[in-house]
Amino acid sequence: MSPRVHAAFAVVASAVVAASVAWGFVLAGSPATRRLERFDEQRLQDLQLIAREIQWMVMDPNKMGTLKEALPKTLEEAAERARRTFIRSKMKRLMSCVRRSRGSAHGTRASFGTIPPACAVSRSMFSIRLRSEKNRLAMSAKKGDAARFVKLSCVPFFRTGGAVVYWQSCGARCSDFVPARRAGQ
Amino acid sequence: MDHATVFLLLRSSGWKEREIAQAFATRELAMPVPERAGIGSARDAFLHLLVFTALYASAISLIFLLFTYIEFAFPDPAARTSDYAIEGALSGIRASLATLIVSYPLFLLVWWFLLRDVRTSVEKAKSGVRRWLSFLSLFVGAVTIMADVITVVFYLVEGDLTVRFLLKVIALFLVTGGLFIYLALTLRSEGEAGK
Repeated sequence: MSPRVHAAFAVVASAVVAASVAWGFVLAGSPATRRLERFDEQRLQDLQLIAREIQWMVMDPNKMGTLKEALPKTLEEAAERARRTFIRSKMKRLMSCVRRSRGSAHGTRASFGTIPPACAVSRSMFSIRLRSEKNRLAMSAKKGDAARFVKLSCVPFFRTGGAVVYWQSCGARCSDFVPARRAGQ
Repeated sequence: MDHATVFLLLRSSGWKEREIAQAFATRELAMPVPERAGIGSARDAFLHLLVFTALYASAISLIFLLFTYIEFAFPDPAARTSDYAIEGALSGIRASLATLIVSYPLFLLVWWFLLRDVRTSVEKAKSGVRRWLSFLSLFVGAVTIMADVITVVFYLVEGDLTVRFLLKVIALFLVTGGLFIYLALTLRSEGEAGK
């Protein structure tokens, strides 16, 4: 085959490839457009998250359609209110757990249904506590609880009235709850 | 001193036969000794593997792009198109564009270099790796065309021939057929030139 035939093939193939690439950019958008789209997607996600948080803050879950408090006027106000609401709700839940656990078969055991993300403790601190806790829990009547407790990946803690309380936060099923007074024994 | 004595002396001082022969050829012969046909160097193997990898990548990306364009132009009324599906298709287009933008110029460049190499020394056309990869590509092309035609006939007898499907078949047929014809013609012309 002569070089001219090779060149002809190359020209035809290049034309097809160039047309495909050009049409691809027309359909998928230029890199700059794509960059702007990604910014928009991120903004949309942020706005959705803020809307969800505000909804959770002001809506009464028991009475759908009614507000338990007024809508925040600014984002700063929403952020401040979210911080207060978070701490208040956590403390409320914690104290109710402490009350419920009193007088139960396992002394200080209780169940938690929520994950406190803002109060993570360092892993080293946790592992020391866990080691001392392991033997005590192994003797517990509920061995399943002990195993679950030992498998924790992250343990946050709360200091309430001098008693350090920590519980697991590894997924939807957060169960064991032990005051440090017992753990340190 | 005759060649045999020089050969003996060089051998005794650790030269290999091949090195001695090359030294004699460089010194005594007016033209270089042609390479034996069918023997490819590591450099040849590298270049041919590179060029055929680039060729396959370009062809597959091009076919994928053409298929996606056809799907955009002729949406299937039986399938509901979600935003996720469209975003996935656009992402696929971007990936294929990236592949094509890199692999096609690479293919052109290395292929042009290899063609020039073959034109300067015709024996290189008979290099094992070149012939093996070319025939392997011909085989892949032939099988693709055969599968293409079988699919058309199958859909024809099933009564499922749609414009969208026919266009995809034609696109596949044109790309693989074009490559097949080009490679077959190149191999034939190189075979004739080598005789």
